[in-house]
Amino acid sequence: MSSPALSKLAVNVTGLACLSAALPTLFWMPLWVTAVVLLALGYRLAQEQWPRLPRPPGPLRLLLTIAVVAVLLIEFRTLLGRQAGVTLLTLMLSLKFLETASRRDALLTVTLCYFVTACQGLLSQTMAIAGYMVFTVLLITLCLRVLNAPEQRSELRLGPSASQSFSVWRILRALLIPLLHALPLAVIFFLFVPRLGTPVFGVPEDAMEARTGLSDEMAPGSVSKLYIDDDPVFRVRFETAAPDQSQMYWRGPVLWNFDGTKWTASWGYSRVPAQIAGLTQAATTLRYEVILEPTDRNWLFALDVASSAPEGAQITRDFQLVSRKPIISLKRYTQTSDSGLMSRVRDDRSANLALGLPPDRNLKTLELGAQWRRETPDPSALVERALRKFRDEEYFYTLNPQTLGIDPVDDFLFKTREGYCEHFASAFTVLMRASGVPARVVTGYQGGYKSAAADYWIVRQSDAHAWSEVWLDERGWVRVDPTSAVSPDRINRGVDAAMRPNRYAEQPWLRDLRDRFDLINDVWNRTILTFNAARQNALLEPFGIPEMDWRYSAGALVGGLLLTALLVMVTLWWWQRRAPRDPMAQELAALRRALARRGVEAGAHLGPTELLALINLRFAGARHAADFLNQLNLARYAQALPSAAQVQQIRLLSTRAQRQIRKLPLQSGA
Amino acid sequence: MPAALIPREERWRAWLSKRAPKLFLGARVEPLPVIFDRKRIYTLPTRFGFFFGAMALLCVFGGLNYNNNVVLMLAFLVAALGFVSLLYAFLNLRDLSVISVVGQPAFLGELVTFQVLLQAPSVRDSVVINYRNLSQVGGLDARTPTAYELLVPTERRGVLALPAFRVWTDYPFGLFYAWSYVRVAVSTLVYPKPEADAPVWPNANAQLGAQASREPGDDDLVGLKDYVPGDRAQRIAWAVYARSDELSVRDFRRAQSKRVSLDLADLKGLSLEAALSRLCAWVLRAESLNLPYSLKVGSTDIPAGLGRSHRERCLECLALHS
Repeated sequence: MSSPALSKLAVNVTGLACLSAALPTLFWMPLWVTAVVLLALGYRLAQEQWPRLPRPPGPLRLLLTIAVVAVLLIEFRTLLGRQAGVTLLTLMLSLKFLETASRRDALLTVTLCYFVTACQGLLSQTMAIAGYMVFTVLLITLCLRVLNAPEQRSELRLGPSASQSFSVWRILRALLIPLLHALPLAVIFFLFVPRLGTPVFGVPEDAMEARTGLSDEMAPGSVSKLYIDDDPVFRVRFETAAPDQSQMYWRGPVLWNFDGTKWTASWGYSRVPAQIAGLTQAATTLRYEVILEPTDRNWLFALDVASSAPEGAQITRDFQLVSRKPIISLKRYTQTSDSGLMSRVRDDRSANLALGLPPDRNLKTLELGAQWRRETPDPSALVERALRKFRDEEYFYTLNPQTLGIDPVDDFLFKTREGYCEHFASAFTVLMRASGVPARVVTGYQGGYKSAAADYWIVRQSDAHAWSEVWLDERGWVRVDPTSAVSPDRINRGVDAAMRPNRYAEQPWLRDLRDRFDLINDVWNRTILTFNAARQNALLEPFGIPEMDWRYSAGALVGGLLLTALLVMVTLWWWQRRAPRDPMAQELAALRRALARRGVEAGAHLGPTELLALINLRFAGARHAADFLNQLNLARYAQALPSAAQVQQIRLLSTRAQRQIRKLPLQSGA
Repeated sequence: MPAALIPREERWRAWLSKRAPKLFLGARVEPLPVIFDRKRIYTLPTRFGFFFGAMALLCVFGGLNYNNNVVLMLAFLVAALGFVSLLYAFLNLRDLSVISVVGQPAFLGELVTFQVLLQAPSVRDSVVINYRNLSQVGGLDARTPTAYELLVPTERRGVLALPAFRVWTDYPFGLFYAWSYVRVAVSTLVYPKPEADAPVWPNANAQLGAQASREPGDDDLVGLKDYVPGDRAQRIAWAVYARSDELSVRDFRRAQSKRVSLDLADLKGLSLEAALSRLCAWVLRAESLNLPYSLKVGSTDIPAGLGRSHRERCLECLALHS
């Protein structure tokens, strides 16, 4: 079935829709994908401008498609993951547009545009992206309307008065009004279409490379690179009283293994759930709600230390809170923490794991540790001694330390003596292990920012932090933060206060603006993004229906459909009432009104001819009125319908006639 | 895409109207004006609509499965847009009326044009009328009669009753397609197909036809011809005008024997259709040469004459002869 060719306008609008749909996905894609997409779209659009450009032949297009899929497979090793899938779709969209020649092709392309746009929701769900997506949907729908405008359908013979229907306003009206009509129904769909408690198909679990955040390893620089990232990681609302900012240690990955440079996790140990049943105490328990932005990693963050795990997550023996699936969309969970819990868990076996050090690296540190061990046998005293060393000797807290060599701990402790939390935590832990005290590194976030706009805390990537835990026989695992020995401000007031007191965020009006903006995001997160089966169930609670079942859903959906039908009909009925009457009758009525203003009563029973007689009686030389009424009579009683130009002409005559009636002197009626 | 659907649609309709004739109001002849109330408008998704719906459904399932609310928002908006476009398609036809249908005669093999006047109480976009795959798309202004041309192919000579035709729309997005069939008692004539390269007429009188004087004289009234601006007002045939609405002038020529008498009986060697076809060609030729001609077909005898009404009378006679 061959479909007729597309007009230039249709191709251009379709290209614009494709571009708009593909644009945001390009941020998540390799550079070559961006190049292919833009080239394909650009070439097809250029073809409209310069028709002599050849259409890529079929075999070439096929080859291109195969090549693109092959390169994608090499790059992502799958086509089913989120990023790979969306990338593939975007590439296919651009290649489809490249070969778009008929209306049928264009309609297919437009449908693909909708699909690609929707899939962007899998990559990011921020309000900005959602807003952009709505704009894109508008554009795609405009494209659909253009493709369905009579002028664009060369398979249908163009008939009467269709030419005047092709105006921007008419197209926009045909686009915006249906969208406005659809909006309430879309909201009802959103609220009442039954949500799934658990997914039917597996969630695509691939993590995306592009996201920054804490990971299961720590090398010098891996935390500090987060300092410049002001993106919120999570927002917290406390149900119990919020602890002091200096006590807010949001626990993340715990690191056990040290290879001389890099700390890594011990997955074998960290996968075992903790035995904490019956050990929590109400007096020290905090309750709060966390809304975690997607991190593409498995950690859920909780204050030191979590005493309960949300569904689908567990507390490991080193008190990491780990979700079974990576957090790929906004996660909302209510969390409890018990600051004393860790000391109540006697996990002696774990202490043995926390002593290993590479024997051939950082030799000076090992030596110092051995010396301390001989001089100070008491572990608590050793901890104190190490902290004292950081505090009393010339150690500096800085975000831009010198680079370290192959033995970074030696270099840091004895040469550069400057660094940030991860240097201090790493050096402290190594020193402790070298002196025979079991120790481990804990990464996470420290502190937070209390929004001035509403009662919640924002924890940003820049709050990333690393600290240590040591095993003391009588107390179990104990948190020690060597950074606080060097830079108490970092812990008490946050990284900005410690390092960047003059940052823009400290400008009061800017901070206020930022707080407000963040509040909007927070509201978006809480109301829209975290709406799920559980919250849907409780939707009708305010109306005394504790649990919404399918009958309410069905009722609401049917009601929504009927309501929309009613809405559409009422609007159109209202328009119908307002619709212009026969233009000639309107002009005649206008003339009657003009006469009435001069005190000449011309009732509706007078036809054009009688009206003319009346005018001639009362006004001398009403030439334009005579012209108008004669033309009107001719047009009215002609065999053919008046053309648009004729109607226009009559309108013009009518305007002149009215003006003349306003001005001419009135004669006393005979 | 409805245009492509039409042959299948037509087959389907034929199948269905045989089994459920009442389903199609088009099966019944209605008096004009035909007003489209809700009972006679049917609405179904187009093929593109099905495709679009499948895409929206996929998005909804994906969004539900992954509980991704942004995907769901978008999918639901698109789904709601689909539902609204169903209403729009339906309402775009509702209260539309066919106020008149007039057919123009045509020769066999040509397309007959029926002028269909549509009117609606509000502005309507993208209203299409079609018979089989001959469609015309247009728009209507509020309360303004709008003329569409409905083309119908001719298959037989004689009276062509306007078959049921369809008024449809897929406004605004081509997702749903609303239609209604209309069958009204309007007919027109299909003249025989004029024979191409017809031989010169056998009538001896007419052999002179080619040299026939075309100069109007005053001597002899030979018939009527169409009024051309410049003709003398005294010659206007007012009686004809009063009867037929056409301005004709009496045609006087110098006495001449140059007139053509056409007679079906003279064409014995040909089949009836072929003979009529040849007569038709002769009528047209005589008309174009301005030669008065008379026509005798069976019992009908039309005296010699010229002009549009004469021509039409002759062609009608040829069309209706059986």
